[in-house]
Amino acid sequence: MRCVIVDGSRVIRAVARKILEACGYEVEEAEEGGDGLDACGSRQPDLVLLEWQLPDMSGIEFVELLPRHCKGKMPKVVFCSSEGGYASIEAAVQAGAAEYIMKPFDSDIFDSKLKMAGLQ
Amino acid sequence: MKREEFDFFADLVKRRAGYVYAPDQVYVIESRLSRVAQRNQCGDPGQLVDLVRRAPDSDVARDVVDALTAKDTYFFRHAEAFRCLRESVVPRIQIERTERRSLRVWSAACATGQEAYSVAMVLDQMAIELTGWSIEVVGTDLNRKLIERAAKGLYNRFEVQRGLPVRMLLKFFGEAPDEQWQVTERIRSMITFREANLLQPAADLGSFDLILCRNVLGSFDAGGQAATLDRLAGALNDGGILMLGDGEKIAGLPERFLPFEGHDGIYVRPAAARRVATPEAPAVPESGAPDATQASA
Repeated sequence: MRCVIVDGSRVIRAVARKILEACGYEVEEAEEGGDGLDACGSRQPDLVLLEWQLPDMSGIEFVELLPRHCKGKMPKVVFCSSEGGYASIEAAVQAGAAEYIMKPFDSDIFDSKLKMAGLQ
Repeated sequence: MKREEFDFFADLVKRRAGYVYAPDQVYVIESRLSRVAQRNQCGDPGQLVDLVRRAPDSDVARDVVDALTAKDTYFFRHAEAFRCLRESVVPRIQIERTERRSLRVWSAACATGQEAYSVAMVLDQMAIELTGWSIEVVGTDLNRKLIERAAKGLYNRFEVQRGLPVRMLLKFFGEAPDEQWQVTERIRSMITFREANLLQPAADLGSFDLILCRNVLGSFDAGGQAATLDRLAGALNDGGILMLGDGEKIAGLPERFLPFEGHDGIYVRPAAARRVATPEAPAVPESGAPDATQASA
């Protein structure tokens, strides 16, 4: 299983990488949306872990651009963000997110959300 | 903690809640009581013994029992059980209760209510199949503070993410102050929360078609388990279903329960007429209703 983490925060990327690697994922990190989309194109991941707002675009824009970069099967998109408003979560789900993790989270939540997204 | 202090607490929680602590769990008791001790200016949990002895009906005594019976809970705990609830248990009850069209559910020892709300959400999703049915969920716990929290239906970010898929969060919850989420009024109105102790008869709760008593009996000794199962059987309607926790089994399977369709931890209380049936004298289905034994084959 492969995952691309797209998040402007180095700390969050490191925390998520640790949990995902423990779950057996190969992890690629991207700080910005553009790099993240490129990584999705080259790695064809099973999972994209995505922040609500990236330095160069919104998470929703990222999801909308994703099909152009993923030639084969689309990865499952799981948002992971401190943005926890109802409207934002609803927008993410409507854009195609499989799950939404609100920060702060622990590894139990992370684990169970990946399962709910149909991963693992 | 001294041995006699451990004995005092173990005896207290056994008498009041049925929970059994083994002598090698002295550290579990110490750690669970450390915050109660702090709140009561006791340097050591053992010092709570005097406070409880002097005032057995005080808030301190209640806090001690609450701390020693705390249980972890989250939405859709053991998701497989809830899939079974939707696909097998509720359809079976619909057959049993097809004339009365009423479905009463008891979430026993429900703590902060996640299990009761999970059941209510499942039943709400089955609204089309259950059109015209009267539905009531009752959640009980012996811990008054937890029941009060359950009734509010307010959960923090951690609680609301454990076990709950995001689409169900959006459908069944609204935002509340302080980064909390609250169960919608529609779902809350399906549930009544009440303080009740599993060790005492619960006749005033009425009778039920489904009882969930999950992840509780494992804390009781054999006598406590048998007495509780007996009371649960007494509170179940004929054909009613009992769901225990993942991996929990009824040892020796008392005659009042039969395994339900091969599902682990799920039992049916056979109708009285069927209970006395033997292979030589098979039960006759009543008024054309499918026979329980055949339906479970």
